Amino acid sequence: MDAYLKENGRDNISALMIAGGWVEGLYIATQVAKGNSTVELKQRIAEQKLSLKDLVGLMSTYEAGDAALDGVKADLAALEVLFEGVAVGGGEQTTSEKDGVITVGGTGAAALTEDQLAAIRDKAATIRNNYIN
Amino acid sequence: MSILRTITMNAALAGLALLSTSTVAAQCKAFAKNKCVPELAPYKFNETFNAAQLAPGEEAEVNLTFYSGQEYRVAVCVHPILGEVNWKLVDVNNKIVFESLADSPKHHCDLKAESTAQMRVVVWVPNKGSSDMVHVGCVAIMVGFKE
Repeated sequence: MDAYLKENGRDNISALMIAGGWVEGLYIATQVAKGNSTVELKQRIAEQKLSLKDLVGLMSTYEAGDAALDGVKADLAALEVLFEGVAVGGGEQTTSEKDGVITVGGTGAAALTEDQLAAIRDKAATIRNNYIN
Repeated sequence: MSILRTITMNAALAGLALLSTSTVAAQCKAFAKNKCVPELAPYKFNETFNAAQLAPGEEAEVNLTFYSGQEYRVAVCVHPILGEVNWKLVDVNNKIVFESLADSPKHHCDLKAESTAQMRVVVWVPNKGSSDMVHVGCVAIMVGFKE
């Protein structure tokens, strides 16, 4: 689908689909965390800060003027503000090799406070509900 | 009449150029899918095609995120017309984590992420002496994972 849209000069639709899929994923993960807030799940949600950065980078390659894209860019920017204080590790990265497999380690795991999670969950729900209604 | 013929000819050439560009991109995707995806086994393809047409001397890079607790295979797959290419995996501090050079090529590297890490895969096609012929070929950077 992505390839078809790109090959037909409709990259903007492809970008919207990617953003929509990511927002839906964030919405589902944060809703699941409401009743089952495990450390692992919160870690995965916190790590979305990195994906969000990549997504914002992708969206910024499209010039302003497309109303749908501009709206999504604004929504992602609002989420970026909420993710700002989220820790994603980022300490000294270590690498080692054993049996041809490189192991990448680092200090500090991604983590999210309950307040940060609640704020991201509310915003993701607002954005998602706005898209589907 | 002659002007009309010229316009028609230009339009046809422009159309052909557009068609050939999209056909080349489609061929590159097909190459990546058919030739490169099997090379990821037993890892599961992440369904993201990072493929581009490169000529000798050209470089491409892709940013990747490796999530903690998962194992990955990064494979670089090149159309035979280009021969072997150089590629490396670089971390956020620009430290080379893995490097494969054209004279001793490795087509994939396996890695295990104990913590989430962002890396760049940089691919560059070596120049092949002096030749008037410029061969452009498909280069794909593919990622497979297992949990």
